[in-house]
Amino acid sequence: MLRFALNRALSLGLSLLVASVVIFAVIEVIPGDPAAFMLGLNAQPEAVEALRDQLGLNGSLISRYLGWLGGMLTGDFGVSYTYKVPVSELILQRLWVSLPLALYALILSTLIAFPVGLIAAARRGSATDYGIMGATQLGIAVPNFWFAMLLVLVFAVNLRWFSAGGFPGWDAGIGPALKALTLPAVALALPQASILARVMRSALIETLGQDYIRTARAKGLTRRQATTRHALRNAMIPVLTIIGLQFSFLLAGAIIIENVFYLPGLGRLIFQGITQRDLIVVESLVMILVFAVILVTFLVDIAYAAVDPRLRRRA
Amino acid sequence: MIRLDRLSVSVHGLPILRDVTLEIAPGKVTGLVGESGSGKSMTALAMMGLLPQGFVTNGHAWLDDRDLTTLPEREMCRLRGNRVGMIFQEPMTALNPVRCIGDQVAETLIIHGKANRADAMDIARQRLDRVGLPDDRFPLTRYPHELSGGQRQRVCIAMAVALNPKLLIADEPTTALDVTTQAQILDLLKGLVEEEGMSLLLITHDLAVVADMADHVAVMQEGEIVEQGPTEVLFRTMAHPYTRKLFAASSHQPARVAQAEDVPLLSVEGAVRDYPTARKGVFGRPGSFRAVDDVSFSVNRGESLGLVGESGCGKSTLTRAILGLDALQGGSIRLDGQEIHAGPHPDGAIRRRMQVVFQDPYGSFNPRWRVERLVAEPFHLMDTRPPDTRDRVATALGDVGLPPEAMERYIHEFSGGQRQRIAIARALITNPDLIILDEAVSALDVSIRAQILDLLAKLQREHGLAYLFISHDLSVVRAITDRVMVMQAGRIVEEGATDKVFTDPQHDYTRTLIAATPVIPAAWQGESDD
Repeated sequence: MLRFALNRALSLGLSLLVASVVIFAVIEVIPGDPAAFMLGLNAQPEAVEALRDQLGLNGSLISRYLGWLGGMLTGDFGVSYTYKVPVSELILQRLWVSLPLALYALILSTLIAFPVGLIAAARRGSATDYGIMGATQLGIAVPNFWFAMLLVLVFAVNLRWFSAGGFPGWDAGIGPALKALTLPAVALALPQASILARVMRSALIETLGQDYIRTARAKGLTRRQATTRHALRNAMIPVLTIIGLQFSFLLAGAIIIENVFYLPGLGRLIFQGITQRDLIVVESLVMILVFAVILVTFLVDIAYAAVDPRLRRRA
Repeated sequence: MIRLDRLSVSVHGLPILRDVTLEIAPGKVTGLVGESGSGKSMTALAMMGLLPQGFVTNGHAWLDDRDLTTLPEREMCRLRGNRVGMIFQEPMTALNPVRCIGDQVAETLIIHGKANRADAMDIARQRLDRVGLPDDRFPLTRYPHELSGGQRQRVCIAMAVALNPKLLIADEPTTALDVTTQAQILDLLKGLVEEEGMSLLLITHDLAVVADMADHVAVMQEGEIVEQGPTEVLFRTMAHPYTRKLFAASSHQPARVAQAEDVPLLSVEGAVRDYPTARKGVFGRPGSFRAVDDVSFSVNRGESLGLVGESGCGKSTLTRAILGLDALQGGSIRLDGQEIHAGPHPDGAIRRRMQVVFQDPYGSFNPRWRVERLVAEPFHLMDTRPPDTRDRVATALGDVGLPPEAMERYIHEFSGGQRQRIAIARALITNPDLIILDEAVSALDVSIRAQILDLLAKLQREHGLAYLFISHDLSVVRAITDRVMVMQAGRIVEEGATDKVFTDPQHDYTRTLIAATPVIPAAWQGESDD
């Protein structure tokens, strides 16, 4: 198992290296001068030259790449052109909103999806099953920004249980901060939970038809014991895959929900970076997100191996 | 004492079992024989209360003074695994792949509250020792994927007998296993019955297995027991026509005449086939496994050559190489002097002279194509499609005993035997010189198998075909081949005229194979030859 993890970690490092080359190359092959592009048409040549220097565009290709890579490894992502603060600081600030929000939404969606999928699979073909399947269909179909606005209307405007948006910061205490993240997390979790519940249901139904479930029943296990002791863990592989994909999406893909709730998250930062042509921010953020996605894939791989001993041999 | 009393099962009004009455004596082996769909497994599932939803049970299944058909589910859960254990046909999938074998055996004890976890693990250890999985090679922490089929079946047996049940139901326990493994598993079951005084209900399609194992035999046909009695008496008398038919089919010898010419058709010289295995570490080199190791032989025109060996010996790998599906790492394969190359652009001119029929009559057809298109498919090997395609398909179907109307139908409308006929028609359509039959009759019931063997003999006569007949079933190979090769661990260890190899085997491995094959005692058979 440890060997497996080390092997996976090694390939994780390789993937990151390849990703960094690709991102660097993409910025390189953008036609024209990035500095001139960032400053617009009427820029002073001196200003463009200063920015080129700041962007590290002067120097050989290799030394620029190594400089960029080395900077990132030491936590130096450069200084944002528009915000005039170090990018690392900017990202860290935003990460403290996006990461808890993503985790919050993921936990919510998992907590909803597991029991719901389990019940639907156990009562396959019953009215409960049809009801659940219908509800999840609706959950997937409803656009989450619309659902978010509905939540604001009901729980913030009418009932006044939550505020309609904004984020007080973690300095205000964990309670208020979590409270501010609750409505966005619910809005994000709804479609995710619907998808996850359906995956859970079909994975469980498949495993419940396996021979070893029949063996378990012949040993004297009740239907429920056979499900919890034998089917559940075997159904985890597709479920883990979806959870991994969903987490990657939640980290940066929450941009619409962040906009609805005025949350200063990564999604909004990258959006602002693009509209303001702040390539330093964009470049670093994309690298961070790639890192996050690869890291999540790595964790999912480790989780696969923890669940299924057959996967431990493959490195 | 276990007694089935007029046990009937139906689904949506359709009868599955009809008035099955059977006594299973303590400490004895009761054999239940029949072809697929005869209701053998349904009888077992009905006794276990594990029938699928919608099945209605009538009659009684007495275990001592309790009727298993009327006990509530909670009571049945207490009985299953405790008083009645069961093992199934497919050991490869019968164990939970993500839990170690110790856990799975111990679970039987824990679930019935007979031991705490530590004690249960101790008992699991003892039971695994008993079924022939000693601690030094098979610690409790082994996972099912680290075991072979036979070893997995041993784990299943350990699980089923962990609590010394009164009755063990074994549903085709050795059908998926090789003959030598089958002999070991049957020995183990016999030993358990003798030592522990439990009853064994042995369900099988193989008459030779029950002849070898059972004290009492019941023959099932279409949900009914048509004949039962003490094993020897039943075999000697064979009162019911179905029993006689089953017996005749299982030892069926198709009428063949040797017609081999002394002209080599397929010649394999020094064939070597290596498989890459998983690489060790990210930068590790992949290992390799030699599945076919310096194999040389030839098939003459019109000859029927058998290839026998246990699973994993390289039979199928060799088949794939001959068909040009995989490239060789050494040696050559020639058909009529022309070398066969694997690659993305097969040489149609060679390929159409060599066709194949596979084992699985269900999986080897595209379900969305009509039979006409299925049978005509090998025509893509021709440069131009013949104009009289339909006529040729009709002729090929006629050759295998199917009416031309079959062309318009889809494959799911046919039975297993009919599908295998269609597979043979597909192989015949290009007028090949050689047909490779890869376990082509292994999935069929004995009576269907007998018909297909007759058909193969007839086609060989009429078309002057050569067969390469690959099978793990020695009796079938003996019935249909002129010459036989025995393969072990990638090598051909013995080769010779079929009769000679079977009556006077030279290699130890061949002797082991022949000795492990169950046979009905010759003395019992004399009286049925009327």
